[in-house]
Amino acid sequence: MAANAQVRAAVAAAHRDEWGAVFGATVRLTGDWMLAEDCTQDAFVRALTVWQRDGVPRRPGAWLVTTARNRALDVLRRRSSERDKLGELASAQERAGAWDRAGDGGDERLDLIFTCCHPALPLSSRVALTLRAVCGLTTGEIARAFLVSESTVSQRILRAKRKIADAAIPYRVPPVGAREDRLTGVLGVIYLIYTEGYASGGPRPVRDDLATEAIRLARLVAGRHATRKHEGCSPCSSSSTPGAMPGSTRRVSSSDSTSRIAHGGTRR
Amino acid sequence: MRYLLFVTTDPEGETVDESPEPWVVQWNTQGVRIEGMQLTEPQHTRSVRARSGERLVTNGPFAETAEWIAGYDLITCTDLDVAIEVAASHPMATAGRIEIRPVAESDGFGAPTAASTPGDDEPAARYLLLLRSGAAAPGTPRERAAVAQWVRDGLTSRRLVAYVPLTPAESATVVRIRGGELVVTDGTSSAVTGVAFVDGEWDEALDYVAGAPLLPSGGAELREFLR
Repeated sequence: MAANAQVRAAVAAAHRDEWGAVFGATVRLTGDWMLAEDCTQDAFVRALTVWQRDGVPRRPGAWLVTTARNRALDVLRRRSSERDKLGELASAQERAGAWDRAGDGGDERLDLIFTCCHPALPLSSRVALTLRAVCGLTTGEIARAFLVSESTVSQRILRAKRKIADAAIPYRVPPVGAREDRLTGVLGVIYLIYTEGYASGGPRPVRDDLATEAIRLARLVAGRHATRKHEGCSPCSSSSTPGAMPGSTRRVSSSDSTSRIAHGGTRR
Repeated sequence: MRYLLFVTTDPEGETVDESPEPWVVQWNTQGVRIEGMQLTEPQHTRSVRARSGERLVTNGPFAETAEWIAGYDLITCTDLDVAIEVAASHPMATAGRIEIRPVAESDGFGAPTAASTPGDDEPAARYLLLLRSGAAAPGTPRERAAVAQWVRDGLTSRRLVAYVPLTPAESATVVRIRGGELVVTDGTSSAVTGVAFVDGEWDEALDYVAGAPLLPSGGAELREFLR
């Protein structure tokens, strides 16, 4: 039996570090963003009670992925009472099989980032969807960070999800060739999140949360796609921390280097 | 997944001296392009709208704009990235722009076939009907039922050859090539909610089109095929 506070801390840490991976793995299985989000949320809620009882698993991320995906399969199975949904279940299991065979399953969060930052989505939706789906921020948190109403954020996210489904925006990192172009758009979104972290006109001059998320996203992308484009990306540089940004001499150098991404990110 | 591509003029397009023929052959060969036609210029268009129960037929396009739809292509492919690739390779992506509209498959009455466009041996006149809605897209079950009835009536009387409903304008994507770079943007400029293929002479076609349930809030445009 694990201590209550310890479990809560473990779930909070997993939420911070694993949300994108759990959601990504689930959306790959279901192809349905709404369902994947429900199941991901559900897995974290269940973690609170199950980890309390059985202890924190050795690999919390893997436990959460399994739990969320099992829940999704249950829902799909229930839905399949309608005949035509049987095909949906079959193709979901096929997708799951292909994913398992692929070994490490790729980096789910990276696939997610590229989908959320697809150029066919409006920019404001790209930002909101990335923070929601990849970083696991709630609509309330996003609304507060960007000083817009919660319903505006919900609307942007809903619209984006609808377009992903209606227009069949693929869930993957684009193939080599298209990747460089699309990376520019991804970096543009990360940069926007980062600048919002210290440049917004809110009551607090610094928004550590947003800047931190941007740095995490930038590191994630940089880890897999080292290209010249983001070598100068300040959120990637280890010397840059949110607290060090405004009012310090370091801010000058960081905004100077991020302007390179800004240039690339707004080009298209 | 099927997408309807609207090949659209754009005053800001670049000059291109390239026939779309190789594009047609390439995507036909790969089984991506299902069908498509060029349209005559919009001055040959007739527009129909209904206001307070009155039928209003005017010569010319529904709205005077600098951009107009010069043709359409229906394609089938796995996802939007492929559709963007197909659209970007069209010469009109450089000279104008291509609007990608996903087909609303779940509404799928009257799936079009390659026979939607008139063959050389068909004497009957055939038009492309562009249905444009006002601000509100048709969404209520009642409106949908009215459209379905109108489509069934048309198919029965053989006035209607095919009806292709589109997903809401919000799922539209516009593709352009400017300065050699691909520009992909969200949104639509055409506000088309569906297209249909209508057979008959002008008067017969207009009679049928005037009964379309979408007219009170929007309008419809009958366009001639370029033959």
